[in-house]
Amino acid sequence: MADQIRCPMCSRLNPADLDVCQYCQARLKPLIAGSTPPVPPPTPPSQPETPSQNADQPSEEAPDWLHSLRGKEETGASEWDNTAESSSGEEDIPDWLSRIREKSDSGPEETAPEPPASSPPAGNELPDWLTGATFEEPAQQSQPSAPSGDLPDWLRDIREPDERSAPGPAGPASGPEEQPGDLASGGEPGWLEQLRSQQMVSDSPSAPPPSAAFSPGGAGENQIPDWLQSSPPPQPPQPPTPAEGSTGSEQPSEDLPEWLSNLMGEPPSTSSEPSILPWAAAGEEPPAQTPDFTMTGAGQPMDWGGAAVFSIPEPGEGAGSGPAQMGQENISPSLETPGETPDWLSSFGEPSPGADQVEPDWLASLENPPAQSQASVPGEPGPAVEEPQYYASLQQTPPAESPEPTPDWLEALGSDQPAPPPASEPTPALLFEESLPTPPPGEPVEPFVMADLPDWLSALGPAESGQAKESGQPPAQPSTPKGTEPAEPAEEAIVPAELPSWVQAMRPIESVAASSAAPPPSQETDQRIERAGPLAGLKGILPAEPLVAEYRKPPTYSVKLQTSESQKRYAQLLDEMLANETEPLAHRAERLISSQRVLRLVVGILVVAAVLLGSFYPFMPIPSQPAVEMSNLYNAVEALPGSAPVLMVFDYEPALAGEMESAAAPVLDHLMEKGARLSLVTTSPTGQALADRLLGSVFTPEAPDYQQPYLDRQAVIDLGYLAGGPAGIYSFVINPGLGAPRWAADNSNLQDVHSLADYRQIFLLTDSLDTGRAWLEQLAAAGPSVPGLDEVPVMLVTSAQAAPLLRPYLDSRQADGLLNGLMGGAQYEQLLQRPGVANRRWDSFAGGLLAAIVLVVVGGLVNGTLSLFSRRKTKDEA
Amino acid sequence: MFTMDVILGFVSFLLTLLVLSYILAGDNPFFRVATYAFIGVAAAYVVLVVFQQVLWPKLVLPLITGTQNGVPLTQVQRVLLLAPLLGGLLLLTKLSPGFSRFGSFPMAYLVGVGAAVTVGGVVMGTIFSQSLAAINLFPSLSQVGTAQGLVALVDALFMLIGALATLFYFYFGARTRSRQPGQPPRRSRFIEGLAWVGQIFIAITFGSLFAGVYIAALTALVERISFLLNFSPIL
Repeated sequence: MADQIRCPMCSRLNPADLDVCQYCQARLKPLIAGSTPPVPPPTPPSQPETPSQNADQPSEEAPDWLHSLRGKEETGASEWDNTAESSSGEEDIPDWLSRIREKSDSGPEETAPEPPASSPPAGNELPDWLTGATFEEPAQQSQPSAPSGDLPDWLRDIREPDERSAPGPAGPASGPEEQPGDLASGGEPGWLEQLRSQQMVSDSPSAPPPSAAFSPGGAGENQIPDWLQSSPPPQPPQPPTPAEGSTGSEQPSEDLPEWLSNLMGEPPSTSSEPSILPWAAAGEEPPAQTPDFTMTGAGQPMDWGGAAVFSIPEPGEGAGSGPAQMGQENISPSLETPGETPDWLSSFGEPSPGADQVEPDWLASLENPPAQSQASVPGEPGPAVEEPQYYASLQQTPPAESPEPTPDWLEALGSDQPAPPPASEPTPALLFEESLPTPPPGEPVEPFVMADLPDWLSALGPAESGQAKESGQPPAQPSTPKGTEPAEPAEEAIVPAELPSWVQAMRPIESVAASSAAPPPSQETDQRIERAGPLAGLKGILPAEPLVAEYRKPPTYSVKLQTSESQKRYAQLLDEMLANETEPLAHRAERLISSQRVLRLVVGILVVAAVLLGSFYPFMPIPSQPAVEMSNLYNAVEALPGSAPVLMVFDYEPALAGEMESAAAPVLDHLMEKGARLSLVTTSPTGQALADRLLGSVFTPEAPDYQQPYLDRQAVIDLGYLAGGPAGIYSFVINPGLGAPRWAADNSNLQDVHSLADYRQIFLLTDSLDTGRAWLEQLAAAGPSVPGLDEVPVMLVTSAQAAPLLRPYLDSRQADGLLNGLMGGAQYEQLLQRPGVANRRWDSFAGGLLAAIVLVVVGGLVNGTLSLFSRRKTKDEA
Repeated sequence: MFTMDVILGFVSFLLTLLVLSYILAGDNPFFRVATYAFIGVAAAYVVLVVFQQVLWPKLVLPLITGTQNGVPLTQVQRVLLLAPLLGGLLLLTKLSPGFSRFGSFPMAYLVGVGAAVTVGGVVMGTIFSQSLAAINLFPSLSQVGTAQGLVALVDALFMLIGALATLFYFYFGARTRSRQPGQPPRRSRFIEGLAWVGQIFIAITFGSLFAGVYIAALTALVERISFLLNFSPIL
């Protein structure tokens, strides 16, 4: 632990090189080093300046805090003067100190030391033992119990001188006119008398009343021991208003021990660290040795009556010149040797079994005063630091009724303390956000290991117990230090002491949680510790930062979908249903009789064979009775006069050229026989080629005479290709000269043709419904525009596939004649009595027809039979 | 010896055999050669015919010479010839995706004109005429008493029923029955009956159409076989 520092707030160990606690961010090292000018302590002439010497030549075992205290001897006196005189300095003096001074000025009337106020002075960080210390039992000092084997040495030493010294008048304490701890006539402890004697010897005009160090109300000089008055406290940063009665003689800064003056509030280097002990500022461990002030002038440990926890340094052992030397930095080791720590003091540094295995908190607080202490500010609660456990113990533990009267100065310490807060509204302890180790419920928190505490310390006075009761805390069981008599039971009419507000604010959470009236820690408003601003470390205050500025990690929500087993099962079922929907239904493949290729081959061969056989073996005569529409066509052509202009439209495709030629050849032959002037036009790009082919098929090798003009193209004129489909037809119908690309007005074949109505007949050769319907529709639409066009007969020469579709136009009188396919041509040739192409192909055509008929009949029968059997199978299976 | 007729005959004979190879081997490469050749030749012939008989004599030549079919054109007529020239060039922009929108104007003109001509012809040449024809089938009342009138009447009724039944077959309007809310919408029984009769007429019509197609194809086959038979001795 030599290289570690205990945090005064959370009591956790931190490395020595740190300035701020790594757990609670409290300051570990008080900022008082070098902040105040050293005040030369008043040294009695007889007393060797052991403290200074010790300060100059510290022993090997003297802790640093002791050295730091010693270093302020020079500044102690001046600091006390400045503090007492200057008005600005008044702000730095804690209230308790001022009250002490006041009391010292008021006189010894205020003798009864009041229990320490529940609310400590504003910003005062003095430990509870110092302010509300049970100086009320100075009787123990005057009646020292026989030192048992368990008493520490320092206590024995203290008591022994007391026993030897008769209680006499007050010592030569020049500072405090009255000693705290009002003893009876013979009840003044010897140590106190010694202090007074020493004080009288020193009698420094600047000696501050040491009672100011103990009485927040400024009890005055009389209440401060001389040894305290001898040490000038450092200049507090924000000294509270000092007592009005502070006189020039009150120079506590010079007489009070340094450590005490530091607790009172030194001018801190920072604004938030007013009262830090020197040794704490040095960042050192608490002194394991007994401070000098705890020792009497005779070098014996002072008998504090079980209240004070400090001892007067032994004057002969470098403890200084009595009380004047007290308060200096010469907090020397124990009585025995300058470098030896008294047992009682060393035990403070030892881990107590009942505590957290470390030195007591009160001592730790002395070493590392709260970093963010606002003790200098009067009226404000203490910083949010963990109050040493001994605080709580002082409150919880009912102070044992001491047979000895409490010294006045000690009583005065608590008299001026503000009243503790009501139990229903306990002052929130110094808490941290980290969980603090809480003692078991119901178990009082004790700052000391009772086995190591002297009687006067373990058996607290009635003030503390009463204060504990008021705060709602169970009275702490007094701890019996080793070698000391057990303290009186605390449950015997113990009045809880009134803790100062600042002390109550420093209570640890354990003491608060132990009380039933304590609010639950979950109350965020009371337990929240401010971390920013000047009030950092405190709790129970309004937040300095707006809540919106506080960054909080947003809650993370799991993106994983939480599903139950039933939901998973339902989802699986739905998935299966959807999968079944996309799956194709099982279809039973139909059994094929044979492959399509074989079927096609068979049918093809059969048809070709039938065609060939038919050509060689005619078996079907040509129907002799022609159709009516064909007769009409024949009659119309027969009635044509000679050299009549006839328009022939060639709108069929090359694929059906054979059929069309079979059908149109006899008609063309008839027209040639009639000497008609043929005008050829087409809406198909291949129409002109097909027209030439048709004319060539008509001509017979033995071309008759009437066919010669057509062979010479004298009686035939090609009007060209009509582009644009129906629009081109309409244009040609409206104005043939403008529509036809090869209209030649001077052509002999067109000499008397100016419009379409001038033609005697219009033959439409088509193999599709579209072209035939287009011509027929445009002729009907342009009829009103072309006069006489309705009188021109229109003849249809169509393929067998278009004939049924164009027949309605025949029935509607839009067409006058119809001849379709090879059969029509054959019949027309019979009418002409000139067999032609159609007659030659009729037998083959008939054979093909017969094969088709046979195939259709046979296929139908087979399909019907198979379907019949399949139905029966389906019914049987069903 | 080998005149053009012989050569052309031989080519025809060969192409015919290639096409008839479909019967034996189905869609085979020989058959495809013949079909591809036919398509290519037909396309080229069409281009030549269009240019020779449309673009040159009706657009280019009049713009150059100012005469069309030997008839001189006025200046207005010559300026108006620029419209089809511009329209044709804009139609070529349809080949480019970026400039295809410019070809929308002549395309719209063509579509509009063609639709107008077609609709007029359909209305005047088919709807009115066919409707009148269906009405005129009924004989006059005076002729109903006679045998011919009666037969004519029967024919007219048959035709009318057939026409209506065919039309009603394509009527799919139906409504849900309130008595049977769970049943799907169905047509009325009268319409269902007429539709059934219309199905018969439609079936007969399709049969006749199929027969006509077969006859046409058979005729083409007969012609080709006859050609092969007549040309083979020459080979």
